Amino acid sequence: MNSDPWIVVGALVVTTFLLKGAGSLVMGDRELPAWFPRFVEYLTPALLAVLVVTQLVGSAGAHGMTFDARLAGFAGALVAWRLKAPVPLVVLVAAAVTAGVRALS
Amino acid sequence: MTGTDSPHRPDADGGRRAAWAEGARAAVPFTVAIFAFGVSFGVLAKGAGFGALAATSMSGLVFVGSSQFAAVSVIVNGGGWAAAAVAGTLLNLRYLVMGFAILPALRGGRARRAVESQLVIEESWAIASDADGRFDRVRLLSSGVVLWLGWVLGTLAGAIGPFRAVDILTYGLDAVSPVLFFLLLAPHLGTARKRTAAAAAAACAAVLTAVAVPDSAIAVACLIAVGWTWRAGRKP
Repeated sequence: MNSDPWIVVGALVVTTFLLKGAGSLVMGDRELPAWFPRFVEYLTPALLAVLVVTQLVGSAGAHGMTFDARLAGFAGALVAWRLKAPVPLVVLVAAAVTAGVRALS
Repeated sequence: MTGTDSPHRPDADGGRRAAWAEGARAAVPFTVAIFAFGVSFGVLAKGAGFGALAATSMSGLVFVGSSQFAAVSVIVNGGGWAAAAVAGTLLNLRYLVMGFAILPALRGGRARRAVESQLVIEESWAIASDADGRFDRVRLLSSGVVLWLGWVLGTLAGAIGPFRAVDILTYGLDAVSPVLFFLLLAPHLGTARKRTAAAAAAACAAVLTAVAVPDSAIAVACLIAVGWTWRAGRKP
């Protein structure tokens, strides 16, 4: 039996624990600097905007931007969101429009 | 020893319960999407020679979809375990920043905070964030646990079930995560500076995706946040 999978799992578990826990492991009980909350205030919208774009036009298998049915689903969801639809409905519109456009093309 | 028989405080308890429920409820739509991605991860891991126990343990202990996908893809493409671990670790570097950001909200000793930090993923981090740059610990933990269950159970279903990765595309589930991240982004666009930070980051992410290095966009977002913090400090 191949033991490679378990070695990968073990190595990734260790590095992930250290990276996610680095904040408290490094800082201990010391205070973060005074400018830090303001940095986080800008980091949050910047990071989320990156995730919107990479999830919308990125693709795990392909290099470069991928323009596909996701864009139509995203546009439909934006309309639903502007009309103040509840979150589950907005998500449903996104999936339904994407699936519909994909089935037709 | 103090605090062992502290008086019952209904107000604080009620607020806490509300925060638990709020975090868990906010996580539900994400969990549906994450369950579906868990299924496709389980299918991929099965194809790479991972047993159901190895794949599910990986999801339970690592709990980072992109990193696990990257590591397993390296194996699928014939790479060794070291290359797989490095690829997965590089995609985790963003948690260094997010872990520091959430730090002021956590409680207890060093070890406990490090363990609580393990529930940080993009979704739980964003659900826990308030518009003023602070974080709510209870919302992080409750949304994190719900998302974790979805990811682990999805992986298990993919590893032992009859699912195929193609189903995600058929049902349009790949459009769900950009929409959900947009819904999380919207409350953070309250000031002109935050809007320009988000717009600059989005533009950089588009360019970096076009030249096939989308993962570096996370680092660019950090640089943009540093730049905007510096500008805000100079011109209050």
